[in-house]
Order: sequence, then C-alpha cells, then structure tokens
Amino acid sequence: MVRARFSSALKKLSKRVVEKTLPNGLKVRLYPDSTIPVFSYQTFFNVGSRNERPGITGISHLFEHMMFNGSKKFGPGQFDKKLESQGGHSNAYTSFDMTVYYDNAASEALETVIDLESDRMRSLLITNKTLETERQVVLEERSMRVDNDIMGMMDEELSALVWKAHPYRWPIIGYAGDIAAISREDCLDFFRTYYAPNNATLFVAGDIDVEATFRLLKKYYGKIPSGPPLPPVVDAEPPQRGERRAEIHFPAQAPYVMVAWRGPQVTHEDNLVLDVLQFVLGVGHSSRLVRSLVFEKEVAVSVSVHWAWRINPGSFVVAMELRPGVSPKEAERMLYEEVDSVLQNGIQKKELEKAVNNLSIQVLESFSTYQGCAQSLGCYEMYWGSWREGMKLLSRYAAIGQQAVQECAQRYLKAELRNVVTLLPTEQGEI
Amino acid sequence: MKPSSKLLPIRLPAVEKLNLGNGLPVRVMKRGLVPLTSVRLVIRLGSGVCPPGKSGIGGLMWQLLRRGTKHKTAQELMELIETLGVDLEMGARADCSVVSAAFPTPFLGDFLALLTEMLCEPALNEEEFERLRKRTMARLVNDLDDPATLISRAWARGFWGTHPYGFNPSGSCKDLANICRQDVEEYYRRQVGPKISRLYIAGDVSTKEVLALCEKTLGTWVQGPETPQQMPPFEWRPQGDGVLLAHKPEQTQVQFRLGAKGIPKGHPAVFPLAVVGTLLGGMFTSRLVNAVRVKRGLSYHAGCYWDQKAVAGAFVASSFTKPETAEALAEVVLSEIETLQKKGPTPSELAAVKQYLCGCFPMAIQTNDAFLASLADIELHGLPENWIGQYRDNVLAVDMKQARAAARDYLATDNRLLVFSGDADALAPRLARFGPIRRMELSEIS
Repeated sequence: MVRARFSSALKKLSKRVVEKTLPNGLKVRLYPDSTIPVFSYQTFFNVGSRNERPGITGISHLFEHMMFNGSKKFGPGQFDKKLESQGGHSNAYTSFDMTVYYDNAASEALETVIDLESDRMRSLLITNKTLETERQVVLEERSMRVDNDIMGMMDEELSALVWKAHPYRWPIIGYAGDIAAISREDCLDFFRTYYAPNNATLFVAGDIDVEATFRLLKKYYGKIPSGPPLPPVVDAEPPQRGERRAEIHFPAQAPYVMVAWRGPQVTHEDNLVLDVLQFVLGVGHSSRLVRSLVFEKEVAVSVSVHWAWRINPGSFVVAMELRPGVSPKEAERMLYEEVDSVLQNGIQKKELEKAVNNLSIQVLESFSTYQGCAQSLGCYEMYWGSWREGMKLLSRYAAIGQQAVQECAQRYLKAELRNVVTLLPTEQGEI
Repeated sequence: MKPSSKLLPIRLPAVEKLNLGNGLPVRVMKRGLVPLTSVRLVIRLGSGVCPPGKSGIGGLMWQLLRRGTKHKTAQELMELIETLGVDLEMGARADCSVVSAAFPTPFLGDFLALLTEMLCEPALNEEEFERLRKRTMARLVNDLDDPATLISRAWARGFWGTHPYGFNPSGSCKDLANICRQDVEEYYRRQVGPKISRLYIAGDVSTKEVLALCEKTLGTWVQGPETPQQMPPFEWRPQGDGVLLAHKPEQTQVQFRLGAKGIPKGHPAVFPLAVVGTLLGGMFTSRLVNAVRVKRGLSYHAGCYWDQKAVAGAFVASSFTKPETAEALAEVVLSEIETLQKKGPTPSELAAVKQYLCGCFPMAIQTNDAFLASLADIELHGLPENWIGQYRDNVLAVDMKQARAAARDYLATDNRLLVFSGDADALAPRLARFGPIRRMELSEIS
C-alpha cells in the first residue's frame, strides 16, 4: 500500500514538470507549485573536480566562489546585494561531477534572479583582486574541511589510495599548493570551456507561471552563445591488484579507520544495489555494523557507510570512529567478519525490506521542499541524462532481490581490493 | 508577473487542538507536498534539569528509552522502527526534550504504538545503560577533536558558567561516572510524563482518524509530574572584557566566538533585534561577512545570532581563521559591532534586510518538521498564537528608530567574552590586549 501511494505521488509530481531546450542548448525544466510564495532556481553545470588536472586541482570549487564576484551588468558584490534585498538567498556547491548554483527567493523576485544568473553566465568578471581574496577564503575553507577535520584528512588520503589515475584521486577543494597557484588565465579558460549554456541545465521549482518564466528565460539567456564541445574525461584507472594501506599519525583522542572498495559508475545496474547494501551494513541502529561494532562489541563510537553516486566508478566506504584505546587492527578484523558474513550468507528478507523502504522514503522526502525538488530532479538529469530516470527509482529499488545484494557484495567487497587508511593517535609534537 | 508591492499570503493549515484523557494536548494539521507525516512530542524538561553532579542524565535517559522495552529487545525495537522508515530523534535541549519522527503516513498508527511502548514500558536495562554510558563518555572525548564542537563547549562553559544552560546536554565524563541505572529510572519516572508534554502531528492525514489513534496509544501514557520544573533565573554577571583560550595546540585554524548579553524568548525587542542581527551577520551581504570574508579574505565564515532561551539569551558572533590573523579577526568583528551599535543601520540596509527576512521566511517553515518545530516553540515559550502568520508583518513594521535603539541598547563591545581555541602558548601574547586571559585545558571541557 505504501509503495503504491509513493509511486502515485511521484507520478503526480512528475506530470507537473515542463521541459524545453533553448536554441543555444540551455536545457530548462520547470516544476510549478504555488503552495508557498517562493521558488528555487538551480543551475547545474556539467563540470566538477573530475574535469580538472594535476596543477589546477580545486579550480572547479575556487571558480564557484568567483561566480559571486561580479559580472558586466552587476559588478562585484552586487549579485547577493540585489538578490537578498528582494527576499532571496543564494549559494552553490561543487562535487566531483557537477557544480550547482541555487537561488531561493520570494515569487516576486523571479525576473531579478533570471537577470542575475544570465548575466554571470554571459559576462563574468574575473579580476586579480577578487581572485586573491577568494583564494584566501578557499584556503581557510580547506583548512576547516581537511586539515582540521579528521574525516576530511582521512578521506583525502583514502582517495589517493583508491585512485591512481582518475581525477577522483584529489579532494574537490583541491590541494593547497594548487589553490595558491591557480591564475586568472586558468579561471578565464575554465569559464570559456565549461560555463556555456549548452553545458547547463536549469531547474526551477515553486510558485512560478510556466509561460511567463519561459518568456523571461528566452529574453535573458537567448542571446548567450553556445560553447565548444567539452573535453572528454579519460578514465585511465588501472586495475587494483592487491590491498593498499596508508597510515596517518595525528594527535587525536582516538584511532579511526576508513576502508574503501571501488564500485561501479552511477549508470551501472549495481549502483542501486549498493544503495541497498549501504543501508543493510551501516544506516540505522539496527544495521549490521552499527549493531555489531557500536552496541555489541563496543569498539566504535560511530560507524558509517557511504556509497555516493558518481559519473565514473565511485567507491564504497566504511568509516569507523573508534573508542579511545581500541586497537584499529582488532576493529578492522571485526568489520571484515561482518562483511564476510554478507558475502557468504547474504542478507535477510527483512533487511532488504527495511533498506528499500528507507531508500524510497529518501526519494520522496527530497520533494517536500522546492529546493529539494529542484536539486533531486537536477541530480537525476546530470547522472542519467534525464530527470525521468529518477522517477523510476522506486520500482527499481523494489525489484532488487536478496541474491542480487549478495552477488553485488561479492563482486566489489573483495579482501584483495580493499583500501585502508588508519589514523593512529600520537602525542602532540610526536611524529 | 506578480506585483512586488506587498507580501504574497502564506496559507496556514487549520490546526485541530484537543487534550487526550491523560491530559496530553494534541495538535494535528493536514499539510505537506508528499505523503509523509511528521510527529513531534515536546516535553518541558530541559537538559539542565538534573540532580547535582549528574549532568547528562536526560540525554542518557532518552538514549536508553530507544534500547528496548519490556516486550522487545533493543535490536527488535530498532528493527521495527527502522523498517517503518522512521527517522527518529530523541534528546534533551536547553529548555525542553524533543522526540521527533518522520515516516510514511500509513505507518502513523504503528509508530504511535511503538512510541507509546517506549514511553510507558521501557526496559531500562542495566547492560544497555552501561553501554550507553561508556559510549557517551567516549563520544565526549572524541568530540574534542572537532574544532567547532570544542569551541562551542568552551564558549557555553565560559558564558553561562554554572547555570544549567552551561551544561553540555550529553553531560561530562565526571558527571556520567556518577550516574547509575537507578538514577536514570528515577529521573524517567519523576520527570517525564504527559502533563508536561505536547504532541504535534502534521502531514497527509485525516485529523479525526489521527486524534482517535492518539487516544488509543499515547492516551494511555500515565506518569510523571503535574507541572514542569522551572529553569532557575540566569544572573547576568558583567564579563569584564575577558578572553578564554581553549588550548588545542594541533589546531592549525583558530576558532573564535564572541558572547554578550542577549534576550530571552518573547522579548519585546525581538523583531528589531532580528533585523539588526541579520544585517550584522545573518546573511551573505551582512557587515561581518563583508568585512571578514569579502574585503579581507580572513575566513570562510563570519556570522552572528541571538541565542534565545526561556529565561535568558546571548548574542553570539562566530568565525575562524589562521593563527596569525586571529587578532585581526577579533578586531574586525569588534569594530563592526561597535560601528553598528553607535551609528545604526542605513536606510537601504534596513529596507534590504526586512525584504530578505520576509522573502526567506516561507522556506524556513516549508517542511512539516520545520513547521511543527515553530509551532511547538510558540507554545513552549508562550509567544502570540499568530506568530507565524504575523512574522513578516512584524518584520516589515520595524522602523529606523526601533532598529537604531535595538543596536544601541543590545549590541555590546564591552562586557563581552571572547573565546578562542588553538595553541594557547602561541596565541596568548597576541590576544592579551583584548582583556585578561583565562586558559582552559581540554580536561575542563570533556
């Protein structure tokens, strides 16, 4: 009954989406709903840290900051000033695969938002002065997210183990030395290559009039020229031929362990099966790893499992925050026991049901706000080429069987394909 | 396009109100874009209400209630709840305890039955208690490696002192060591019950059916106090111009907080202060973001807010930077506060911030969870019933005179506490100019 109700709700939602493509290649998807007098306007650019190369790591993210520093019509500081004074706010995020700019605002501000967004896509200003200031801001952001964050520093080390050739090897925010060296010319080149309308998709959800919105979009974006085809991202990752390990020595209160296995790309049929496996192993108090390592064996304060969709093959990660004094080796052994149990005995029917229920709720919950709605539709489009693919998620999750989960685990979670980073606490000053 | 001269209306749901037979007030409303329902049970029991030397007992109790009932083991209970897809939070906050959950609407009856079992027939098992206590103590220690958590704890300790608002809701290692299972059971029986609670439900529901379900389930919950314990008043002691330095030498980024006297919930100046606080540090074009991030590149973040609690409040500004610019950061923040205090906002700033707050407000209450949280806050603190409906009008009504008076009277650059975390040995000489330094070791925070 619940699944039928969810499917019907998604079907109803998807019928509202209206889509068009402007002659310059800009794709537009509108989701009108007037429950509250606001809208979320999101521009998805098909560029992330996977499009970078050594020497300019972090440019996608640094460039995201530069997008808020003025364009031809609205000079430095004007973007947010104009938007906020009309009842809106904006922000952006960069991932491995995409860069997304969003503006949430009162319904009356729609034309202002379209004017602001189209202006920076058409004629961004990049000055040495603003670049220098943003560089310092980004270096502080990196210091917060990586250098002073245990999981952040471990994740950076782990990615460098999992990938030897693919750009997923470096952190989205980039290495400090590269951030310091990125030039204005690098930024201009990046803008010309990736920020053209034919590399963007707009999602607008909320209190909008569809026809009026299309008219405005045509008026403001219509004359922005298309850009050249994108340079391809080469996935030259060689096969892994054995376990890889690294250690971090840091004056922490307790040890930490992160283990990763390479997985498939988002479009692979195993992608959604790994979503299920993620829930079975590590989401919720009753999941296998939380129950065993946190509550029964009491070696970990927390355990989490991350399987994130990626355009190129991603990684399935288990992170363990151990109790002070616990042996990381012992915790690792206990972790592998649980993983082996799935490989050998599979999962129970009730575990599958629990995972599928929760995954379905996640899909539906994302549509409970206009921001979530535009974001979900946008991500589906970026990963699968069409937002409609996301509307099939409920039936796809429901079709996954216990055996498929076991076989999928056997394919990816092999002992010889582990990548392990251990953080060992040291005294201050000790190396 | 739609006119921009006046605010577009927000349609608010009709709220059905009644009291169950056991005295538990229930508020039910039909709303939301998707077939999910949110439940919020608010108990007037703040985390600071605890026997002397037993801080954290409330947090421990809420964790223990999830770990099994008289009929189900912890694993069985959690499996059932998680199979329903319930995202369950239970915990103690400064002025109340909250149980919140969101799940598919058809599971409402199942969830209410499980919640009732957890509240009426908890196992309160010794073994589970010991596990949770040890885990919480380990968590308190591990959290010292998180710079934002560390500075928040140091700030709370420094600002609120020995008032219950200064207690960490999770307690301290020292206090947790003093708590036994019987303490938790006694606390649960004496302090938690329907007569000091309220239940809120919003979603794709039929209010009549929901009320019947509530009577059948939580209507059977009978225990606890007749009235809530009152939070002791907070006696504001001028801080002088103190500097608190939490020693964490391996941090390569200094965290910074400024604390000064604020306002409690329901204060008459709340709207002028919301306007002043937002333009100082609550939006991207705020003065602090502009001065710290845009102009100087000192930090990724700078902001401020009014931390309003039932009997007192604080003004808090926060940021972080590299060790060599910690002094410059504090100077800039103090200077911006002082300028706004002395000169007030400009007319264009005032107009912009009011528009900003009004435009963003509908988004802040869009989810069922957020709407229920606002509604519960209104009732908990005795705010006007039409608070949500009138919010934007009240913001728009703030004029320049009120904004200037609010800035002048409530922003303070003296009698403030500055808190930094980082290498105290290296920072102390440079920060001494801001006032007498008190060094805080990690052992005082865990």
